[in-house]
This record gives sequence, structure tokens and C-alpha cells, in this order.
Amino acid sequence: VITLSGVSARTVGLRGRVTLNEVTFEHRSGVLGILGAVGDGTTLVFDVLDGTTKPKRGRVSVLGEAPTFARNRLARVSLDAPLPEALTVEEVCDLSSELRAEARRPAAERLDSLGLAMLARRPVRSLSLAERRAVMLALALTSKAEAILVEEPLLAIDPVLPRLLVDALHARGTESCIVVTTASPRDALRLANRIGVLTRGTFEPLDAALGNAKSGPEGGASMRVVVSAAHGRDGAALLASSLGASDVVKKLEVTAHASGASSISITGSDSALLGRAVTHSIATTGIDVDLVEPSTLSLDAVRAALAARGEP
Amino acid sequence: VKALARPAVAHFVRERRGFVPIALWLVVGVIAAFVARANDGNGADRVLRGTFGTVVLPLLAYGVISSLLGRKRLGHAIRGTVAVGGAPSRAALATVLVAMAASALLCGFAAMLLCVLAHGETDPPLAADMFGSFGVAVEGGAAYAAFFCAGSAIGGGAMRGAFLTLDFLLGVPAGVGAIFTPRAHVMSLLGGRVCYELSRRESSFVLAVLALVYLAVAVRFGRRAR
Repeated sequence: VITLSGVSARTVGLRGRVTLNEVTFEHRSGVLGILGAVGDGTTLVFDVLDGTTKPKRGRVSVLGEAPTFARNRLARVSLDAPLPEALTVEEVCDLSSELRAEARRPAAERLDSLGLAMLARRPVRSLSLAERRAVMLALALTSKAEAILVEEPLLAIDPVLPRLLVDALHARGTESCIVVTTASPRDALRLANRIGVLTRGTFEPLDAALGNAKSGPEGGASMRVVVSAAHGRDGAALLASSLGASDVVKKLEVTAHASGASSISITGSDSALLGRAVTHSIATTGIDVDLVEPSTLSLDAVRAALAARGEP
Repeated sequence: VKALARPAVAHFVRERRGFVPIALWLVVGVIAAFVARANDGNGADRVLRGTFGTVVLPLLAYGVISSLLGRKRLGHAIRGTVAVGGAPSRAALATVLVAMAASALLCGFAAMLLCVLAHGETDPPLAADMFGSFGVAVEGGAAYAAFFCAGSAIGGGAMRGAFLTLDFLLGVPAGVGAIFTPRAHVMSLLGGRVCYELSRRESSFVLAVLALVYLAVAVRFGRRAR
């Protein structure tokens, strides 16, 4: 159980002062999503939970103990994914088992939970940020940690990994207490059983109705299509040109990933029409896609809805 | 602590770029030893109290810390270990202990080497001189490593260089400030002027206390793994 009771804290980050103002929540099991940006205090919440920052006021309890005492029972995956630079991934896995007093398991077995077995023999220094984050996520999910804190779980990871990660987090959430922070309402909806919004240090739980809103703030809709690396950028361009020719697509953006896969984000007035356009384009171009997913309310729209709810 | 020390040891052993300044200062010491031997009957005494004590020993220790931590501050350097389950204060302690051990051994063997290379006719018997110099350099190397680790733990890590400067400025044997930095004590133990009216035995004791105090300071400030 993670409990924050009237917690106020302050830190000075790269972008200025970040505060928490009397944050109160309790989380027992499953996945709690905290929706907000780093400047709103999402990283500070984790700093308070793992004992890196002491709160100025309020009470923090992690697994029934003060955060510094519970540290060994807690795993944290931060955005910059720090790992011991001079070791190999395999050695990091062994070190992690030893430090958490767990039985040593083959690194490949632990990493394979997220399809990363091929990274086992690589030196940490040679890993990209996405790979480091993926390794840290695999270590956290396969550890005996009773509480897992993950910053932006679906950011800066391979485009195919989210499918595995969402399932793994949900499976792990049945026996552990997982807290994720994200600035993406879509990611929060995919990952979390419960969602709260952190706005400039103030935490508010999000009710289910608002949390499940799928449409955009103007009643519009958007979708993301991930084109597999096998088709490369040419395949993404072909699919994008087919989608761009459709009347229902109002806006289209293509993003290339380092792995060779590409994401196409499309915006239109109706999600059903967008879905039909995507299906038609895939069928006509013969391009394989790894993922098609709808977008949701923006963070600002969620906050506006929360503020409107609070008004008389 | 043994498991927590593994990343620091691996960093020190596998980071070859870190050996460049260490090798450079060793070469400076070796050249000074040959020059001293050529010019004096007591070359070992001269090189140990001169180039080794004033320049090579502190900069070897500085090189060890730079090799272990890179340009990072201590708290930042241990983040990787903390992220995989290490307790921050223990990770900081393990890293500082590795730094102290590496620096002590390196400085000790460097002192022995220079003693052999520069040994002249009027120097004390070689074996006694060699092991005496080894002991002083081990203590001095460990104290300097703790001193620079404390500098690396304070502020953004830039205090490591400030501590080196402070050691040069305050380490004048006659000044009160010399008591708080390793330089004057090491020079006193190597046969130079005594540090602020302290006997050599007292200097040896104070140097050991300084090593422990700076170790505690480094762990206290370095455990903020951010």
C-alpha cells in the first residue's frame, strides 16, 4: 500500500521550482496513473515515494514503512533510465538480483519478458535511451519489488514494446502496487485502473466518466498508426499518401523512429470514419502495420473538464 | 557493500580513458626521480618531498576520482546502482571506499617505485625507505581520495576542483588551515616541515581522522542520488 497524506514538498528542477501541495491518495494494488507533466510534480511524487526528497509536511507510507526503509522493496523506472555504465546488461541483472536479495535468474529469461533477450550481452554504455528504459522496465517487472514506480512507461520505447508492456503491467498489477506518471491521457487510459490528475502540485482523482472520454476537445478524433520497420519509410510514405487522399483525414503527421518503424498520426472529425479510412488504406496499399490506436482527450482538455466540474 | 562496489570497480578498471591522467602523472614522477638521482646523493628523499608529495600524489588521487566518477558528482554517479536496488548511502559509501582503496594502492606503489628509481647513496636503506614511503603514500592517497570525493559530493560536482585548489592554498605547513587539508600532513610524514606544530605521529593520526571525516561528508552529501 502506498499512502500520501497531506504531503507538501518542494524541489528545484531544471525548469524552476516544482511543488506538491497537500497531495493525498492511497493506492493498494493495480495500476494508478498520475496524469501530469514533470513541471506539475510527477517526478517529485516519485522522489517523495522513494525517499529521495523529504516532504515538508504530511505523511508518506510505502508498503507500511517510511520510504527510505521500503526502498529495497520498491523499483523505480525514471525517464533517463540510469544504469551502471561500466557493466553489461547481464551483469546489471545479476547485480539487481543480489541487491534485492532475490534468487539469481538468467538475464535472458528476465529480459525476454519484454522480448529483449538479445540485449543481455550488450554493454550498458552501448544501449540507446529506449533500450535502457526497456531493460529497466524488464528488471522492474521481473523483480520481487512490491511497489513499482514508472515515469512515462510508453515514452521513448520501441513502438512495438507498448503492447507487451501494457499486458505485463496489468499482469503485475494484480499482485503489486504500481504507479505510473504520464502526460498522455491516452497512455494513462491504456495502462491504469485508476487515474488522478496532478496540476501544478495539486492532485485530483479523475472520475471514470471523464477518464474514459475518447473524443477530442472539439468533438474531433485522432488515431495513430505504426508502420512496421520491414516496410521502412517508403512504406510509411505510401500509406500516408493514401490516408492523405481521404476526405475524412483533416491533419496528418509522420514520425520516423530510430528502429526503422514510423508512426502516422491522423486527425479528423469522427473516429469511426477515421478507422474506416485506415482500414481502406491498409487494404489498398498492402502495408503491414504494427499498431492502430485511437487518441483521447489532451491533458489540457482533461484539466479544463476537471475545472468545469468543480464550478457551480 | 561488496555488490555495491562492483559497478565502481568495473568503471575504474574498464574505463581506459581514465588511465590517461594517471599514467601522465606517473611519468612526471618517474622523470623527476631520474633527475633527482642524477643530481643528488639523496634523490629519493628529494623526489618524495618534492615532486611526489606536492604534485604527483594529490593529482594521482584526483585522477583516480576522475576515472571513477567522470565529470559527474558523486550522487549522480551512483544513480545507476541505486536504480537497480542499491541503498543510496551504501552505494555512496561503496564508491568512496573503492576510490580510497584504489588511490591508496596506486599512490603507495608509485611512492615505492619512485623511491627505488631515485634512491641515492645518502638516502636511508632502500627497504626501510621504500616501505616507509609506501605507508605514508597509502595513508595520503586514501585521505586525498576521501577529500576529493567530499568535493565531488557537494554542489554540482565542481567542488572537486575547488577542493584541489583549496589544498594547494591552505596546505602551507605554518598555517592553521593546513590542519584541515591533507597536503601539509603528507609533506610532514614524508620528511618535510611539520604541519602547524603537530608532531609526525600527530599528523599521521590527524590525516587518518581527516580521511574518515571526509568519507562521512562524501556519503552524507553523495547519497542524494539525483
